[in-house]
Amino acid sequence: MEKGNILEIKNVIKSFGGIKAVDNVSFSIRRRQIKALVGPNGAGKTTLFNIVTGLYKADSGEVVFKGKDLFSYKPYELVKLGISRTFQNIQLIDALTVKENIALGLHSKIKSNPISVILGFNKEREREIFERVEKVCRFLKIEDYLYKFPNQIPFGIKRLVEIARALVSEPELLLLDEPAAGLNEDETELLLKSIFRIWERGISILLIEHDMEFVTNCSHSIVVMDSGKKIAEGLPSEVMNDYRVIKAYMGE
Amino acid sequence: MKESTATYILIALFFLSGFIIKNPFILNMVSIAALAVIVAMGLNLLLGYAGQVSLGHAGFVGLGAYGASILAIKLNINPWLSILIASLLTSVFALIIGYPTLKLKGHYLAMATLAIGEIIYIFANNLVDLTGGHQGLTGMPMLSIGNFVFDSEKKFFFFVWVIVFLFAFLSFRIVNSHFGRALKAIHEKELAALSFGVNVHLYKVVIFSLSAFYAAIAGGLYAFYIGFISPSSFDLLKSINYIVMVFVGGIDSIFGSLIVTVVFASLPNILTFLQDYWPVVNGLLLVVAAMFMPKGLGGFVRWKKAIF
Repeated sequence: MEKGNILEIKNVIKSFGGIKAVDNVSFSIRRRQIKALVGPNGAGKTTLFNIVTGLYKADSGEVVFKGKDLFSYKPYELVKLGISRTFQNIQLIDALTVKENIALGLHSKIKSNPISVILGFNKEREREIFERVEKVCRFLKIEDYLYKFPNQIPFGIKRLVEIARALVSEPELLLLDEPAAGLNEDETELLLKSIFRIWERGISILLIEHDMEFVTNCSHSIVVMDSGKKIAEGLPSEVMNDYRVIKAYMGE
Repeated sequence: MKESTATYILIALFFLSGFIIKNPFILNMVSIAALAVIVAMGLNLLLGYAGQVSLGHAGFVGLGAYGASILAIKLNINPWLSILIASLLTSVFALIIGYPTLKLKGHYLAMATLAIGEIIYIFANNLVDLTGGHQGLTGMPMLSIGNFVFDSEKKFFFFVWVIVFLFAFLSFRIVNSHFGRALKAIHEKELAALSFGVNVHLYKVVIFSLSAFYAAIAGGLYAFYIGFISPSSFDLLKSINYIVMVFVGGIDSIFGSLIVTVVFASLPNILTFLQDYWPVVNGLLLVVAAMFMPKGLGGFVRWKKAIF
């Protein structure tokens, strides 16, 4: 693994039936970098995300995080390794409050056995968990919504709650799947600020987005995918002027 | 009021009603209903919280009942110890069975658990030397603590409500911990739960095993209380009854499970003229509940509260 890289994606291939959803894609993310993965709908961005987070198995290739082969870990072990993610379709649990939803992000970091749960010795642990949850909420300025249920809060806040859940475990790498999708201008503005503040804390970020303007505003480096292939990579200004990228977005 | 407080108060009221009710028939009826409450509370953890269906829960009740009886009768083991051993064995059995089965989803899981229940039923019918076959098994000793023997309906009534309280307490402790939060996540968004860091399969298997433990304890107590068991007490219809109780009581409402189960388990004894049609009544209630309060009684109450 090259020094300074936190994640390396090498020659990843994934087919569904006859369709190559991800076709030999390679790129890497440096520490403290905000990298954007862009491309039109159906380009294979989310598939690649799901491969990185272990929800899909790649046909071949390799994903290395801090020198560790990610394919040898189960999806639920990634948070412990230092990777967490959000989802394009908001995945909040309706039966849980915002506070409890965010606490789920700490699940794999809780060391407590069933006996202590039954006897009530886990109170101290629970308090620690919720203290961390509240800290994250203050950081993202959503502390007013702690005791609300997901169906009682605005869409933009739901996004931030998802991010809070990913953030509460203090990951080294944060994967955001279309964080700006469905947000209005104000909400997008707020999200952008939040992403920078997360980055300032030393967290590397990989985000999927198809809104080019959003991406050029917030990322250091862009990877463009189309029909499963990587067609360009570089600085936002370079990529924006790339003929193939324009073609992928605008057509011939 | 918190759901746990309401539930404890209700259990206390049931317990205290033992001082007023003189009729042994009613005491007996409510005691048996209380045992069903234990099964329903266990099934609620699995079905209501984790969202995994089991159509074989009567089988686990049966394993507890037969296991405990056989241990006590054939091996002369203390009844309490028999119940505990049989229940632990049942949960180990559920652990082993659950490991492969809980990889299945939806209808497939329903079919697999139905098969488990049926297999247990068939064994209970055919291992005549051990179980007495369809004629049933009898000769269990009475439950006793020292010189105090549970030889009347009243004594058992008080005892069984204490046990219900213990299991309700256990349920609330689980539900209100990180364990319970993980179960709810599995129920709603299984794939996402994996990414939150929840070992989904492990949790399903553990909760399956735990709910089998609830069932087996109830089965064991039933066997020693009634002093007679036969396979028909643990057939598919019983499994479905438990599901109806959990559904009507309210997915993820322990309080709802408690009320509805007591009512459901008692009704056939009160509405005796409907006896032959009971499965029909059961089915109708399920349909009505599904149409008008899809989240069950518990969900209905919460919904009303949210409006007013």
